[in-house]
Amino acid sequence: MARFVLRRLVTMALSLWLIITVTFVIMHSVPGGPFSSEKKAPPAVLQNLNARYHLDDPHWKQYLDYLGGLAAGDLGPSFKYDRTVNEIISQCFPVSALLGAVTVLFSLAVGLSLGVVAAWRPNCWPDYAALGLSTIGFSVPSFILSGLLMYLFAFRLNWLPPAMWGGWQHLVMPVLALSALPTAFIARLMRSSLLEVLRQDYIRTARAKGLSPAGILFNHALKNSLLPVVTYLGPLVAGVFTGSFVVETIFAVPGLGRYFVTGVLNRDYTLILGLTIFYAFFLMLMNLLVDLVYLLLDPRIRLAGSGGDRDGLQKAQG
Amino acid sequence: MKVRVILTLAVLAVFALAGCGGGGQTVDKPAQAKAPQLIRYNLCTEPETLDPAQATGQPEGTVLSNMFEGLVRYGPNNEIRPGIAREWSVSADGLIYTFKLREAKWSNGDPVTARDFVYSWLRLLDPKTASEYAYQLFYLKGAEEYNSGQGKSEEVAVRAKDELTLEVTLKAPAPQFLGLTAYPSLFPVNPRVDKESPDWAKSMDKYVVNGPFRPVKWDHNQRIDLVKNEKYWDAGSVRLERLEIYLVDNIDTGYNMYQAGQLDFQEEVPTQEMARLKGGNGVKIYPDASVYFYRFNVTKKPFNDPRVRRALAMSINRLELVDKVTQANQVPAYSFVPIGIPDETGRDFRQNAGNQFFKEDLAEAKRLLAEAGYPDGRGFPRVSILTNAHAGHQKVAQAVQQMWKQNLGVEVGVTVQEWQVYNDSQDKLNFEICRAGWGPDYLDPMTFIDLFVTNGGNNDTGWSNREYDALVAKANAAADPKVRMEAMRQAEKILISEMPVMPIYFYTNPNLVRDSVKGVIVPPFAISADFKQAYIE
Repeated sequence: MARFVLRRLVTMALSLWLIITVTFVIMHSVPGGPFSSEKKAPPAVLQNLNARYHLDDPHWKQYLDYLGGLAAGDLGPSFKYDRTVNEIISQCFPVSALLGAVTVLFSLAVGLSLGVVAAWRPNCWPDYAALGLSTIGFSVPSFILSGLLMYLFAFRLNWLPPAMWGGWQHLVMPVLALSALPTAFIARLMRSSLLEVLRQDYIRTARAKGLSPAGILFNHALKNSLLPVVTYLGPLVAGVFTGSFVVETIFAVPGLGRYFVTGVLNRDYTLILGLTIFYAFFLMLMNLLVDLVYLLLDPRIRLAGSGGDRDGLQKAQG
Repeated sequence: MKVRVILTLAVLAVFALAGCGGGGQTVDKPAQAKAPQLIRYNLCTEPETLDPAQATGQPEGTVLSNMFEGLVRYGPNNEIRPGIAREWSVSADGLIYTFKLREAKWSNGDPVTARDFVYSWLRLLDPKTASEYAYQLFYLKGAEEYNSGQGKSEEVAVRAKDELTLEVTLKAPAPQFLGLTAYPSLFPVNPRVDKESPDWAKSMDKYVVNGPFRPVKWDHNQRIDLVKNEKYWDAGSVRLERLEIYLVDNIDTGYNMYQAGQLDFQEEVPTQEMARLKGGNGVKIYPDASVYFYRFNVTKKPFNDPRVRRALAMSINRLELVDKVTQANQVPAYSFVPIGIPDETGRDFRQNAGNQFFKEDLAEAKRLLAEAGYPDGRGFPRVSILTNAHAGHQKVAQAVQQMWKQNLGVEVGVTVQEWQVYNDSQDKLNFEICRAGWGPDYLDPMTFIDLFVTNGGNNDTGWSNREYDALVAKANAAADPKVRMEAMRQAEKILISEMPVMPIYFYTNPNLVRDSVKGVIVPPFAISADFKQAYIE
């Protein structure tokens, strides 16, 4: 297993390097820059700006300087904000992460329950209801859902504050808005996976032995049907923890999501690169953890000897 | 069963932890009968910086103007009032300004001295500071050379004759300079604090100010909390105890917070609510000295022909635009310099020069178009209106598109580009027609007139007229304000007669304001709100 993890870390590093390079090239090919503005500044001012941020160096030198800083853990200053990229990430990530964690837990709780209910009596009304709910969940865009929630709970009923961040009341609406899509996905994944598992012979044996439905579910079926959900969980956690631009802007949550978009709009090169690296690293880490969790879930899975990890895992499942 | 129990407990635990970890901000109550002197204002964005030498935007300038004070300060009627400078005098040739400072204090007790201004202005000009707005001080002798790295700081013509006397020498007469000293880039900073902690502007615990309010906290993307600065020289005039500046980006969310009683004042009004709230139901419309216009690329056919430009300018219905599309009581523009800019008599430039340099005249427009070779729009090349991706601008462009089609038979497209790409296209003249807006840097017509000199950095039309250039040069060299203004009036007439730009309307500034909020100064330019004299009734 140690060898597997080590090899994985090496591929992660290589991927990160590739991502940094591609992002760097694309960034500098797009028109505009961090200091373009409607009012043209005199040449002396532009000269000073470029000197301070090393924008007058040739691109390859800027690239190497950036990699050098990266090795020391320094993501550089933001070109737009009076903070370093490290500061922005360390101030905003915990907020997005908390919102993300609650969202994932909530989505799991509701999604798994819906999936189980749907699969237990397929093609009956609980199944249709659960499927219907999940279709709505991934069809309604998050900004519409956010608007509706705010209108209902903050404007009409006055139960919750419309926006900002602070206490548990500020978590409710963003979590509901963010978890619509993941809940829907998890419900569907759970349903199809559980249906598959419940057809297996050992389940029929368990029923024949007289095990109660709840017993079958919790002792045998659940663990074996969780694999697709776990697979989905990796990218989900990475995506949700790094913040959603739409939900965070609408509910004035001071998270990381908005900086992904404003960084690009502002051509804030260091912020764009820093956030891309952060997200890529986080995503790859989550995928690695997901692969390790497979081991816990299914003892038939062996870590593949050569490349193509996930294919290797599936083949071993037989 | 176990799994389910554990899952439920986990969810509950996280909710509980979130409650403990949070700042405990609950729904705020609206201003009560005993009227606590607190205003909650939405800035609508996170400030990029709170260092006066680095700030370039209006939101940053707004926060800074409530925390600092420059040599002068604008009063409620756009008049210049003494700030840190209690009186000043200008030499006969208009080059030497002498400011006598009052005995004011910083919020940490240090006295505000002339040396503080020298230090701060040199800091703005220092090439190492790399300030985007260093050019605001290029009026000073030796300033541009120092900023280009070709001169020394000692050669910049600003000096402290004594503790409370500041002497400034300009390169050429510039009547707008006095008003500029009210502008955030020219604010003083405390030299002692700046030398001890160069990063003082990043956190509020080392932040020292000399203005009406001092900062207590800056929660990024949430709020900046200000309280009354008791050491401010004019603290007696400040009635507000606390000013909470919210940083909520989404205007609709801000509106919801206003409805819920969490906000008292917001600079932007959601467009869909504008018509409903206009008649005094929470929206106050303030003047804005800015002009909304379309540029023509005069280097491309058919806009190299002034008859085509004039025809297009005369065939849209501006009243209908401001009534039905923009809906904030804007003023149709038939000239370029907006309302709100004073001239040499102290009255409004527009009052003396009028706002009728051309008329909307369909018959005349059709005649001009036919004369130029495109009768009834036949043979008109396919051109496009370039705009950035803002719903309001797109609506205006579509309305204009329709008006030209209906009135002249001329078909144009609408091209939408992302802000920076749009700026780049505008700069490189990669357009046929381009939407634009311009606000003043200072309250003087020159900030609009000098846009269109030959090869001007912000000309962006390709237009060049020697007579125009000569008039601008004449105005810049004139010490007599009457000669200066008259030259600018002549220049504007030339601009409109040739129409390289098509003025559409003069902006207004609608704000969401609760009735209990009084005394806020909303200037027509530079900053969004000055709360020095504000209070809650």
